[in-house]
Amino acid sequence: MGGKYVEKVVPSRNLSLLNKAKNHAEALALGAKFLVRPLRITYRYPIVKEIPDQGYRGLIVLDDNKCIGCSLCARICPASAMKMFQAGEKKLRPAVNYERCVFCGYCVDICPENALKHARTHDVVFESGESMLYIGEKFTLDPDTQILSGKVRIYRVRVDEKRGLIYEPIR
Amino acid sequence: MEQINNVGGFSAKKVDDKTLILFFGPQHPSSGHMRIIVKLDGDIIVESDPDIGYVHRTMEKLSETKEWIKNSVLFERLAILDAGNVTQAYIIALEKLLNVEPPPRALYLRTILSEINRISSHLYGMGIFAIMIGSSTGYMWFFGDREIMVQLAERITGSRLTHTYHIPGGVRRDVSNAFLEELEKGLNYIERRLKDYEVMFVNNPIIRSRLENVGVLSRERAIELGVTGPNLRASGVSYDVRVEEPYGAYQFVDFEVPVYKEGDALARTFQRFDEIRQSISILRQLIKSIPEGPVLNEKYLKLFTKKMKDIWDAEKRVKFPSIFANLRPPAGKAYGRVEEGRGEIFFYLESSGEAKPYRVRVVTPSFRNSILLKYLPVGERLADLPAIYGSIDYFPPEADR
Repeated sequence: MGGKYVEKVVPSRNLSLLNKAKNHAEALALGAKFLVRPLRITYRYPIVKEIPDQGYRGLIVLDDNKCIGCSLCARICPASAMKMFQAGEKKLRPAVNYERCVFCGYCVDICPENALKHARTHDVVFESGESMLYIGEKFTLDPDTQILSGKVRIYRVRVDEKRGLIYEPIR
Repeated sequence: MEQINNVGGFSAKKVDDKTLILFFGPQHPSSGHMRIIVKLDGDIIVESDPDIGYVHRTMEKLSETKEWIKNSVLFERLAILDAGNVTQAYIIALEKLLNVEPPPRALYLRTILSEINRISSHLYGMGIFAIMIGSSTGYMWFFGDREIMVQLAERITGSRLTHTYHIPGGVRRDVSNAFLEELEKGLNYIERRLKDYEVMFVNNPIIRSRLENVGVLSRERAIELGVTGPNLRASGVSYDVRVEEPYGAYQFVDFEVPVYKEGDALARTFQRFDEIRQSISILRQLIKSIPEGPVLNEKYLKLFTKKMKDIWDAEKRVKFPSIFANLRPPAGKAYGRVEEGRGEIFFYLESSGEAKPYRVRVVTPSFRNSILLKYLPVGERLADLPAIYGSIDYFPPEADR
């Protein structure tokens, strides 16, 4: 068990003219094969949308009823993106600034009441710096519902032995 | 000295009729975030001076202002394409200070992520290398197929590149059997594609003529300069941290570490391809033999509340005990080393018993390899400089820290 070193030599150095011709022909034939049947791994992004796997660390959503205002999420945030704010008398609630957030998910994992969760959406366009601050009610809305109720087609990606990645429409 | 601006997009200084000083980068597409100042006699390089530090972010000093667990998020930004391995080295050192050991299943999961990262890091390096020497097909293929590895890493950790997967005493998430099946499929795909790469890239006579006997690094020179990783092994030195000081689950699997003797750009290319093959074999063994059990150390599992246990049972996701926000390792010193895609990364931590580290020292493989850019190009043609640069798989943000 464990690793061992194996000495190796680069095979076929200084290719002969015949081998060069053969290798050129092989490369061209392979290129021709992919010209007919390309391995496309991209998708038409704004027209269709990929929804990531369950467990993806996207935007963060707060469940206001579960939150007890313990401030652990603000304490563990490595980018100081999450801060606590007064939300009424003797009531603290977190707010997140996506200008700073690095989506490490520490806040979600340390929350003792499971009041924070990840949405599966991460690609949101912000029009101004202020709109990147998610505070109060804005922080409690699930962005997934907005995306999933829109008109775009939703794709899911699957790993395939032959084609690499396959994008399958789920709606 | 006469100043000539814009010689084919480069800025240059004329010394005399035969000699020219050329500033290669930092905006040049094949220099990365760095500059190489080369002195040319005709088109032969007589002197080469790598000018690094363009993406220096004071990582070591910055880490002294952050709590222990937050630094893991900071350090993965050293090498974003190989984040799993970087954080693993930091967490191994931190675990030595805290005196906790991860359970076997966590070790296996760490090694699975390490090897996925190694494949994607090598494919990234080969992609950049391909475009530097003008093979845009190679670039598209390597970068495209790296996406499969990135997707698989996302399935484990929840994030494509900045995984933040390792925590003291274990890992953050468990994987399902469905993931292991998907991983097997991804490996079969990459293995099949390796044959295509050989035809289109490595055995292609055009690529061969750009790489053969270019940038030869002898065994003695490699040891003298303190080079690390695949570049060292391609020069005939048997050294790999996975063998010398096994961490993770490397002691539970059989694998070979290829060692090439020639030390030129072609040998370094073959070295990386062979390492991808070995990574595939390691991953297959890990899939077969992964044990059941918890993924976090008993010491922290004891602190779980009922709610946290329910979430673990339902979602296989580790909730952090609140002690993680305020880790205070006892005063002491520790190190952690891990074989990354580009070589050995070394962390030295010093704790004074506070919530923040007293000192963190990072020695990264790219920094150790950057010295090659001073010695390897001398005597070669200017057109071979991108081939040498690409073949040593230099990653500037990692070197500059």
